[in-house]
Amino acid sequence: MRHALPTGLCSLALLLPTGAVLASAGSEAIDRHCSACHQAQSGPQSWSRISAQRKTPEGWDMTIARMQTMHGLELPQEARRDIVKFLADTRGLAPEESASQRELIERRLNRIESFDHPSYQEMCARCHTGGRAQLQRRPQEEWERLVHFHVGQFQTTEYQSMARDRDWFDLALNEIAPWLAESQSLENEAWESWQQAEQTSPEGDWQLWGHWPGEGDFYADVTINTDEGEDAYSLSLDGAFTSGRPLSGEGQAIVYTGYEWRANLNLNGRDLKQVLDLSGAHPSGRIFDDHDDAFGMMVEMVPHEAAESAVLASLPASLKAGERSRLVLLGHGLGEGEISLGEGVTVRKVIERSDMRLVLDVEASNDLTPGWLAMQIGEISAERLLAGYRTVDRLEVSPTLGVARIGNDKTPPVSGVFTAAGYLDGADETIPLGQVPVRWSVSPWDKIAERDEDVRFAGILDAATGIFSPAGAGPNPLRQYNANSVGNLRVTASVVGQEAIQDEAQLIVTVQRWNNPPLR
Amino acid sequence: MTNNKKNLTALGLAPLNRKAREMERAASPEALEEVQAMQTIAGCTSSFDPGWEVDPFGGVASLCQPMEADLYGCADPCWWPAQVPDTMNTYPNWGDGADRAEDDWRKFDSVYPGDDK
Repeated sequence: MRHALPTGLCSLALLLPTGAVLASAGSEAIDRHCSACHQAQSGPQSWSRISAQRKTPEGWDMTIARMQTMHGLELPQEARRDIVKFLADTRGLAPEESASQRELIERRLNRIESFDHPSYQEMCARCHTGGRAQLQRRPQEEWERLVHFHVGQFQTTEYQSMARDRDWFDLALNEIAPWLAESQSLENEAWESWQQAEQTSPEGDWQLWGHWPGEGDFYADVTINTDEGEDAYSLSLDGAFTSGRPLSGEGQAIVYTGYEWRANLNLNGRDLKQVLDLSGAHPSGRIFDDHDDAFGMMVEMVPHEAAESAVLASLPASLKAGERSRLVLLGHGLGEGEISLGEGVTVRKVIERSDMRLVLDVEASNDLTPGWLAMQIGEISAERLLAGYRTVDRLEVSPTLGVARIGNDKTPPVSGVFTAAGYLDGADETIPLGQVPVRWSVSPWDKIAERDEDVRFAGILDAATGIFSPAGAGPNPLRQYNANSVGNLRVTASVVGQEAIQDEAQLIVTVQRWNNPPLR
Repeated sequence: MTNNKKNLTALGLAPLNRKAREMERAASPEALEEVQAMQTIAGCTSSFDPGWEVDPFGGVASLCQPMEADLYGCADPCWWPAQVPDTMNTYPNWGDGADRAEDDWRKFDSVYPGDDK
């Protein structure tokens, strides 16, 4: 599926005689609220500074927020939304330009960044993510202005650690700015060709699946309809967890730049955000809690209608010998034909069957041979989608390093959310088993954490789900010096019934932050 | 510049508190700098003095604690502007009505103007 220039207006504008550029709500709002400072320039819908940058929808929203906070801009929320839409559409990033930073857009923060520059981390990414600048495109003079802005606005920048030991300003202007101008230039082929690509609407029926922390795998039918507003959609979700518990919800979405899907959802009563990249064959992205961004789930989505029959997903990814369980297969063309799940697996009951989904009650025999289970649904075969196991060879906990935050009503706590994936280590290949049943425990990371009783003060890890709920914010009178309820913890998962098979991760429980833009 | 490469003893400094002793234990200044840079989790900073979320050793024991005791020491000089609203320039009124952070910490609000404000 290819999408394209969302507005249609801009491409149309290029075909119109000079002076006949169509106005939109966004461009009119810029004329009204921004052009007193950002003067209109020659060329269609062009303003000083604004037209020399390209950013994600979040990036443009943060720019407007900065104008409000730092320069006293006052504008209605509707105008802010219109401007973000217009700028993300006409001065956004092509899919390949945002591809390396999807994790940041999807608010997956528990990871260590790395960059192809020896000092970019220390120069820029010591305060905020390096990805924040990687999601912008500017010519060199605009990157230089960004350096000047930092020194002018945050005047102690040069005195801080990793700045006072070097000529930070000179390095920023003469090494970092030229590097960014070269690697992230305003004009390039990716953006040129994306603007010419054909647009496709997400309207229609889809199937979505993912893993809800603490609840398990889920699937849902998603119906997307056009809504009032430019590239606006409403959606409804109707599905279930693999346990059988229902999952339903609804939401509103806007598509920016032809592929950047942003939705507000309410799923089973919980308010969540959804970020999808619609540019590929299968839209994918993340659903997450805007206030507790660690709580989220990666999701994939496929249309109900498809030309080719295939099994695309198996929930769960593995069956344990000797156990009876519910298995959900998702795909196309699954409605007819004999169902065979490989040697040693018996289908006890077909609970639900349609062209795109099979919900089965299955039993794996005690003498099942560990490894891939060759699956056959009518004419469709899938050799490497479902695995069988007796024991788990290896466990991997992710993330390997997580950050949770203590909180209160003004700065809600950020959870620690861990998952444990099992593997079979064969002679020829490693077979992933997906998430296997584990027990979670927490212990001090080191002797200092043990001395300071971090385990006692920092919060509680749910032994069944791997979700850590941090303690409350504020000085803790029970701790030495009234220290906050922070901690440095070791999170361990051990396979149920195989306690020796373990893996662990580090969990830093730290203080809150009060500056929480969508791109950190 | 050159003094940055010497350890504390070589500079004639004796570590007095826990953080200073841990600094001294670090294998070398270069290693410390590498640790600082590499352990920064996306959007967190360990790189300043001593670090907002994570200390230079990748833990929390050397953070300024409780954080509220020195919060205005962070906000006023714009020391962690990505995490703590800087009252020097950007949010001069952030601390209004919260004269003593250790007592008034519940009054501090998030600053990013979101959709619902």
